[in-house]
Amino acid sequence: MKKTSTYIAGVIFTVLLIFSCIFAMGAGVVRFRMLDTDAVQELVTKKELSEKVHAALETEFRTAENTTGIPFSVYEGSISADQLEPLIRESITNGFAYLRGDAAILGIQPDFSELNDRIGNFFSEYADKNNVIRDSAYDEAVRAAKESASLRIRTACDVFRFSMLADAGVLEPAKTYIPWAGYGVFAAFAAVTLFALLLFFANYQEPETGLYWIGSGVLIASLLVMIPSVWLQKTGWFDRFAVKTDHTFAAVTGYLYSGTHALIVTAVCGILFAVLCYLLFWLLHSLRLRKTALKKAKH
Amino acid sequence: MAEQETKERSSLPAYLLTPLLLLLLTGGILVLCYSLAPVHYVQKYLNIAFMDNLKTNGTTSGLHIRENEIDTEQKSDRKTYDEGNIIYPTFGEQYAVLNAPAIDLNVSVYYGVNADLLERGACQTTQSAIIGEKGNAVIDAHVNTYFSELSKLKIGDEITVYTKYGCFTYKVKETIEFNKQDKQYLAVTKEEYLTLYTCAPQVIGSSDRRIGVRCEPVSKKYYEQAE
Repeated sequence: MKKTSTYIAGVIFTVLLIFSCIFAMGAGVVRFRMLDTDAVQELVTKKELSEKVHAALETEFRTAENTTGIPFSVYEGSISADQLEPLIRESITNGFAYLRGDAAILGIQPDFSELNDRIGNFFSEYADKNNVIRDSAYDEAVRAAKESASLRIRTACDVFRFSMLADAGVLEPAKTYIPWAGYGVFAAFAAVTLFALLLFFANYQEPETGLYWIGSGVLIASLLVMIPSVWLQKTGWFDRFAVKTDHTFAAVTGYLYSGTHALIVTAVCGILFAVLCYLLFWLLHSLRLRKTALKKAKH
Repeated sequence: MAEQETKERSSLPAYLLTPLLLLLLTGGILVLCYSLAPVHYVQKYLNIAFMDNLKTNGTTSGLHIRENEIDTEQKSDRKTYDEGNIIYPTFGEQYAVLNAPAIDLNVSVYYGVNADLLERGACQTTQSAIIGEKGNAVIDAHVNTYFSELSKLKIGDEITVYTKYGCFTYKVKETIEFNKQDKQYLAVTKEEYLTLYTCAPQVIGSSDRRIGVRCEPVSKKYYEQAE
């Protein structure tokens, strides 16, 4: 640290490097973890979402029995956990693809022909027993019952409640900004590279000092990312999530914890990189001092 | 060589203290940004989504139904204000009592909609406005239970909603009927409304038609003055 002006330049570029690093870590985690469908799909098995959705649907259809008169046994064969799992996975894939702008329509259209047949048969038996005339009102009731059942299943399988968020007008603004996450990562890494080069440039007389500044910047950025993330994890802050419907709770909190975990891992990598920078700085700086001392001794 | 070493030793504190200085500087900038940024807009939604203001013991999954004692007697000596504070409820909390004398209805209102809550009373959708704040507060219940007489409400009938933070009176502005896919009456609005709806009655199967009323506010009495 030869001159005050070099030192001040170092501080300024490092502060800018720190913010670029924080932004790069955040954008990177959003782009490569939070928006990565495969990573989110892991939650289906890890959090036993299909079993939870099955239990929720069973409660819902049993409760609906009082209002619709359709017994739970009509739906039972079509909503096993194994049958629901592909629908949950498809809902997740579709929801995230919609957010990224890769899917034009939100929501899935699974084949409910088996379920529809069961409902149709139930109405038919009911009509035969009670001498109900099969008129347009009857057809309308059958159609409505089929649609209602498929809607209930599709809604339950939408574990992240994308459709509800879309109805509340939350998804559209998110959809506008999320596709920019990729550009955000690129911009942040470009900024990191730029400030790192500027740090080397500002210390051109002792280029290894650039490594010291870069190490300091990355270390602090990592600490500023890691400390709140560890706090969120250790206090179980996301467990305060208000919606306690089992599958939505498990999916959303699991998703948020997976995001903070990814931030912690990224920050740890940042700290290791910073330590490497410090070691390299120390090594190169010692070598330079020795060379200078040898030169002076020769003279 | 000795001169060089002395020089290096004098730089050592600078090398050690600089990261600390940078940490304080960037931490300070972040705190400043936080205080300047309009986070209060987001804070409200965070409080609703994560129950942070209520510090409940929501550390486990599963529905936490919470009953509250809500004053529905309205003693005349109770001090009230035209503008006031709202206490945001949590999912599963009974946060209001809805009273419609015209159809002899007096029902608890729970925040959030699911089968368990619909068994206990009327339910408010979480994406709608809280009673007492601007926007459309949407409440529904089963037609074969609490809202069985809802279709009998007429324009001009009075509805009172009692909460822990105030008492709000509405008047029926229009009776509504819509398809369940049609969200026009359930959507977010800038104007203040109370929308009550239920399924249209049907002997067997569930109906696609929804019936209800849309009400506009007549009076607001908050128990705590706005800060």
